[in-house]
Amino acid sequence: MTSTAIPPAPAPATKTRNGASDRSKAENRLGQKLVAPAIVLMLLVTAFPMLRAIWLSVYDYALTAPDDRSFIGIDNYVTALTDPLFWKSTGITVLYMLVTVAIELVIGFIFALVMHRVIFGRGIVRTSILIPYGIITVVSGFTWQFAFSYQNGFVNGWLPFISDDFNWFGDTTPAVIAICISEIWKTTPFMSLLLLAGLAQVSEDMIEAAKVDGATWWQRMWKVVIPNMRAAIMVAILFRALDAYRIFDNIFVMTNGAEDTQSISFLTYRQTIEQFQLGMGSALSVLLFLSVLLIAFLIIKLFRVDLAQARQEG
Amino acid sequence: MWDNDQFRRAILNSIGISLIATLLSVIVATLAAYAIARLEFKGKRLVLSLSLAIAMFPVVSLVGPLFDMWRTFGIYDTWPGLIIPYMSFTLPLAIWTLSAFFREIPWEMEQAAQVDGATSWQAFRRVIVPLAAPGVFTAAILTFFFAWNDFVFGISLTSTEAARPIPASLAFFVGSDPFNRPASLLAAAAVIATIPIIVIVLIFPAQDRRRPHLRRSEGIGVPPTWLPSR
Repeated sequence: MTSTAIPPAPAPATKTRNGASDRSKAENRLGQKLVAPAIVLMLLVTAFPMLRAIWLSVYDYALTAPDDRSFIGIDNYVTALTDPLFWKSTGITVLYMLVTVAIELVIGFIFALVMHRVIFGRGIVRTSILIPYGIITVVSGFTWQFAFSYQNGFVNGWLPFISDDFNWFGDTTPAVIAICISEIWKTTPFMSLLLLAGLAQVSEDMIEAAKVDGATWWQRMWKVVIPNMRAAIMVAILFRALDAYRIFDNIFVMTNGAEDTQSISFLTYRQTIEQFQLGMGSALSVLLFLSVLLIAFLIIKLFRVDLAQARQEG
Repeated sequence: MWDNDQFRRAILNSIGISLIATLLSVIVATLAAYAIARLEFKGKRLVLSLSLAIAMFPVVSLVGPLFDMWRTFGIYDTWPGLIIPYMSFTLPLAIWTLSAFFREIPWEMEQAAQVDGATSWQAFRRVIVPLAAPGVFTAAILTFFFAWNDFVFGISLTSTEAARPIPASLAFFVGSDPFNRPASLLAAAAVIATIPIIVIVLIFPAQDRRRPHLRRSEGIGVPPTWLPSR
């Protein structure tokens, strides 16, 4: 493509100078009416429960004894924030997030390059890279659990430096490694799709020009391609990091939170659904929500993420 | 596996819930997408931002309050109890996909058909519907994919076989001996749970050829930021 891109058409000229015409008012009303059901549904399941969680979190409220509900102010938050279990879960969640995002960024970028450049067998290559994306997380979690199992798994047999009866789920470190591998296997395709979208935006002309000027492949990558897809990389990190922070399915299936592998999502789930501690669970829900907001805010500010890029309102 | 009552129910639940959620979600999303693609109104950007925010929402922080709310409303452990959250979480994706398609439709053709003597209904049925169908189909596939794959809502908003979908059922299945899980049965169930996804993947390339203008994410047809992350 040449650089003579056609600018987007100007907005329809129905708007008159002196305020909105009747027609545009009617259009405004119709538009709002049409999006209303969608907005109501989205808020019903997100904003409304979140407000309710804030309200429930200031009570000592367990479903096993619903009549004993009493107002306790911020005691739930104090209990949570002073409990080592909370900090341990948060720490392990951050660990999952950092490890998986860092590794996936590298592997995902390689996969994106392969998907972008491959000429022969394009369909096959892309499909095989995207297979993990299509498999249900619970199923992939089970598959990896069986793979790492010391009874019938193949991992111990394949790795020469590990004894055949090594129990991966018997201690924190190997269990975390196993969960991370499962998580990386499952979500790298998503990462590479995000990066592929950025790669497709880098102009071939620039790469060609750098090539003519004698830049090596490595220089072209670092000086031309990566700086030009910076926005897409940042969006990929943002989305994957927030997703990794919510890690739940893999832990549930692989260790069920044993050996200190439980994430903050898992702790929240345990409190509310398994132990019926709705007050405490709601406080944890609010803390989880706030920490996700905080992480989003930090990533957006630190890396100056361009959210218009993420929204892609074409 | 089919003889196992628990799995049979779970598969029927999954199919029913996912299909109904897909149908309703696509209907609601079509209305919103039409407005976003064709009308000028206040709050358009708000809709898009809200949609994107939902993609990043920590789902687990919702299950506690939803668990409590659904019990109050009496829809805990029922199909609607899962259909409603699935709809909300698939709406952003469906709205984006559909509005991208609707922008590409040459709407003048509807008037052209009417000038040529077609009734409004004929113009809509013969001109607009065929043009919009691939978009609706894509949105439906992605919605179904999300609903089928969901786990968090599936385990926390159900308690019995009445509504428990297949991923949740897989995770809770222990068999007769809790210390020795029936690996082969689980594997069979896992394969069955994957079949719908494989069918979808097989349909996808055929869809892709029909809409070359939406090649942005190359092969998926939707910018990946709007896709479910797993």
